[in-house]
Amino acid sequence: MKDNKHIASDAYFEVRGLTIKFGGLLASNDVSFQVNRGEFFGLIGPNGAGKTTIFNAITGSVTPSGGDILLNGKSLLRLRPDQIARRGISRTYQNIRLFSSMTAEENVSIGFQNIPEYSRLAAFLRLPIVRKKDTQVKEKAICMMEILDLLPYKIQQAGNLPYGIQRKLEIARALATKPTLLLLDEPAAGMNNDECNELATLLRRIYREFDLTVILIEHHIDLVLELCDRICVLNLGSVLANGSPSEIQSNPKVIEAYLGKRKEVANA
Amino acid sequence: MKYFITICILSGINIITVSGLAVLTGFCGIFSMGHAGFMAIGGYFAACMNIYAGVHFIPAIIMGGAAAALVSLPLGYVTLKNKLSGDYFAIAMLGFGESVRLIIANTKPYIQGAMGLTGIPKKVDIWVVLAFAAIIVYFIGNFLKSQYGKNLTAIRLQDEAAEMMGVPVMENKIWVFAISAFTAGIGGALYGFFTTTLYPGNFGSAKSTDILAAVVFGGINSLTGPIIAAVLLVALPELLRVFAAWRLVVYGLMFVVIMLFRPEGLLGYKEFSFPGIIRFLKIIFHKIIPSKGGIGADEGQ
Ligand SMILES: Nc1ncnc2c1ncn2[C@@H]1O[C@H](COP(=O)(O)OP(=O)(O)O)[C@@H](O)[C@H]1O
Ligand SMILES: [Mg+2]
Repeated sequence: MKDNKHIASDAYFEVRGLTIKFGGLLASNDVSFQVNRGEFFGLIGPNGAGKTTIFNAITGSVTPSGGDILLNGKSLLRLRPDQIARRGISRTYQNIRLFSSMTAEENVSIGFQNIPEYSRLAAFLRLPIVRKKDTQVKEKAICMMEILDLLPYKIQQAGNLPYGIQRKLEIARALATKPTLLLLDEPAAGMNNDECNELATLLRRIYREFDLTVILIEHHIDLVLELCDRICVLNLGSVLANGSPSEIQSNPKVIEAYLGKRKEVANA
Repeated sequence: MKYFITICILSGINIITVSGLAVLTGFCGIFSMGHAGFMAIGGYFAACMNIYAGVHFIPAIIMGGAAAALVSLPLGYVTLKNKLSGDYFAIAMLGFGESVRLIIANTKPYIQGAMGLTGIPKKVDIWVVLAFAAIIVYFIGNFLKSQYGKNLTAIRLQDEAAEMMGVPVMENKIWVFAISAFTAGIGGALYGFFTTTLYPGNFGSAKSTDILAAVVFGGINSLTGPIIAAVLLVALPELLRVFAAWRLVVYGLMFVVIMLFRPEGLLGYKEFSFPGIIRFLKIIFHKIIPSKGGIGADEGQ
């Protein structure tokens, strides 16, 4: 947000010299950037620039061949995705990855109780604690869905929901793991202007309400310029520029490589 | 009558074996073509415990299940940890099942190798099998109803997203693998104490395919579906014995039809329940005899 309400001085999250190769393809080439606690950080660049790949590396589903990723000064490399989730990182996917045949509410519940608070033995015997905890989690999930205006969909199958609702449900599910750093991969993909504005309002609201640090990948450039404190521009796997929205907008390299094609949008 | 009870007992044993595999395959999405290997381990271990160590048959049966589960741990660790998945895992398990069979066939001391282990006391009757089946199905049903079960479904649907939502995927898979090995071991042990003889040939790849078929046929994400299929797959071959020559044809045809029209299995994503059956009958009833508005009213909506 523009008001920079809770920025600490030390880098909270850092990507340092990240290099990722897929065979001969250099998807990420010595990428470095820092994100402060409470910052809304934008990651933009043309298709194939390697944005999603960086998210995949942060969340442990792609192994980098060089560099480091640090949260609170501690490396996240060699951790499993579930361990990374427990460190406080959560994400949404560019191609929606909901548990499609489960209900919306069950999707959110999994984030809350990824490791049930009772043993497997208790589950086999269905001890009273099982019902108690599962009910508590259900209530929490419903509460979360209420915050994101998803209540009307709670008993519907996630895979049958409208596209925009699925994107919102992915955000709700991601928030259920109680992240401090939320990675959003093109949350506005396929949305029209009205839906985009609505999403911007929602993102701003959850950012405040959950005291988040956010990294946003998005092609709707006005959304990025409106929401982000700082922006990193990637091109062909390398960092092209790094700075405030106004610096990025006036950077000749960025305009040439990326914004140029979207000048009408950026100036609108 | 005796014949009927025999079929009931074999069905019960199949239910026990299949219910564990339903958790592994139907809920967690891991296909195994070697679970007969766990049946063999459970069967031989329980029988030996009873014959050579004098353990009472009930604890011996449970020890048989535990032995199978114990073997599954390193096996699951090596295969699942290395992200061996899909067909590769199924084939690794085929190898495991065959290895167990061959090791038993070539172990002469105590278990008489390919000659078969004979002289196991006949301890198991219909009541013992029913008791074991009821307890195991009840426990597994509870487990699946809890958040643990939901998390397994999530792993099957989207393992990457499930892991990112904090579900320890490997740990869950290894546990489920052990649970399925346990019930297969119990199944094998009951089988030994019922038939009084164990041959390595009882536990070949055909047996593994049979129990996997019950899960696939019965339906994914369902426990009651595979249980019904487990009974059908024991009973049908017996009924079809009348036309022995056509048995495999009917069998094969049945699977083709199921796969074509209900690829998610007989009761995929559903559980058998009496209110459900009544609802189903009502739908059928309304289709046959359209209500007041007639067919046109349905189309209007
Ligand atoms: N798992 C993968 N295997 C091989 N190539 C990949 C893989 N993931 C991404 N890539 C390639 O890496 C490049 C960057 O992809 P990506 O990070 O998805 O770009 P962006 O999200 O910026 O559009 C693309 O050329 C893509 O084809
Ligand atoms: Mg992308």
